Amino acid sequence: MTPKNVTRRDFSKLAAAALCGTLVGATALAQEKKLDTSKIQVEPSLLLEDPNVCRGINTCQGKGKGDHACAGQSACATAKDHSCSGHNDCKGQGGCGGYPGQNTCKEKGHCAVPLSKDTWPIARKQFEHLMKDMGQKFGSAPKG
Amino acid sequence: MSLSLQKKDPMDTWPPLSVVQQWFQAVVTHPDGIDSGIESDAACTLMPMTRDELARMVTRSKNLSAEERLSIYANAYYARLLECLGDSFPILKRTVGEEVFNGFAFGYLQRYPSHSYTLVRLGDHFARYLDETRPDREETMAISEKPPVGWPDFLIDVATLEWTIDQVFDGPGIEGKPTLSADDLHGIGTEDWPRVKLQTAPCLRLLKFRFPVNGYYTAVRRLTDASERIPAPAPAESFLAVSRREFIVRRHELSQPQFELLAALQDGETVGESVARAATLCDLDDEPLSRELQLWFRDWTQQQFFEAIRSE
Repeated sequence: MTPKNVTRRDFSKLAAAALCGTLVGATALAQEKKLDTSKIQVEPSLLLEDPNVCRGINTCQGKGKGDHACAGQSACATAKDHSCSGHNDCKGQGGCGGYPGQNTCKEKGHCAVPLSKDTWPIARKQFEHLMKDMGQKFGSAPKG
Repeated sequence: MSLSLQKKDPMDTWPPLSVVQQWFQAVVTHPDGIDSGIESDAACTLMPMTRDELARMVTRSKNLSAEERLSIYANAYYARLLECLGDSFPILKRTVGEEVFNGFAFGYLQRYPSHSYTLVRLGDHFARYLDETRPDREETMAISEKPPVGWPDFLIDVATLEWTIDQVFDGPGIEGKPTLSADDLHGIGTEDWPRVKLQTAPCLRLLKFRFPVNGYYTAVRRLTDASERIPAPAPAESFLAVSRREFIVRRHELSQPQFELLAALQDGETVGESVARAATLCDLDDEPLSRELQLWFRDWTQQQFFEAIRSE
């Protein structure tokens, strides 16, 4: 069929296919969410607990590595380094997924610590949101 | 740094703080440095003075003159903004090199100075600026037929992609909010479905490029050696959806029919109208196109491109 033959198309059939796909996608999404909840088990407040998973997410002066004047300015992770998914020692010490540093169990974190260059901005953003919610002050982010 | 007016000075009445602040901004943000800034119309309108009179306004320190002290702020202002733009456009910066990029960025800051309280908006017009100042602009505007696609288009495409990713990362999203679910679809029959309108997610952006910049972007990001370069790809129209899930920005390459379909839905057209728009661009017969549509809508729903059914 060429694009010129569109008037002969069965649009009700095409639309029905779209509806069917949408239903399948919505069902898959619901299952995915259920699976994610049981698999990752995240708790945002864990991002603020010690040890922390990367630079710039320490909650107080002295609770991060390297010289830093205040919260949010540490130079590196205080959590033990690990290089891949599921190798984290404890809760709140896993790397990526959408919830770095928020896994609730040992070996349930995703990816490496210290965080990768792709994951760190997510953690920092979430750190800023959490600190603002608690009315806590923090410094500008340290350079990578 | 302290600002002071000495007694018996022609300006011995303190101007209001807001005027001093505006004068300070006019001086330190002048592109040609503080000498030109002090003598600029903007600064002179607020507080007329010559360079020699600066010390009456800004106290000198033990080691630095008033002019040198003020220059620290002027230099820091541009250094900070160039750094911010570099952070927002790392692939473009790597593509053209730091010197050329900083030249673009400095010119951009003159034409589109920062007016927002937040640096998140700093690069809003950068891609447009690159287009406005492209070296072949007059040439391409003079010819009536479609001009050939070239290097400036590639850079504009890269800048557009990077800025979109930045905006999607910082903008509103769907985290913690419900998106289109099977419950929303309950009771909608196949006869009603073509008249349904879908609300797309606030973080969904649809982009059309003259180059396959998504692949280029990915390839450059994967480079580990800072000195390594990747040649620009050959021109080829490409389409992309950029969205965000779980705070991660995700890029989805699209075909043209997929792009047109999603664009129609985003514009508020019905499912039926949108499918028809895509169908005009497809060579497939109904049977294979139906299978394709089913897969497209499945993936887009699962990727949370749709927030809800529009209530109209």
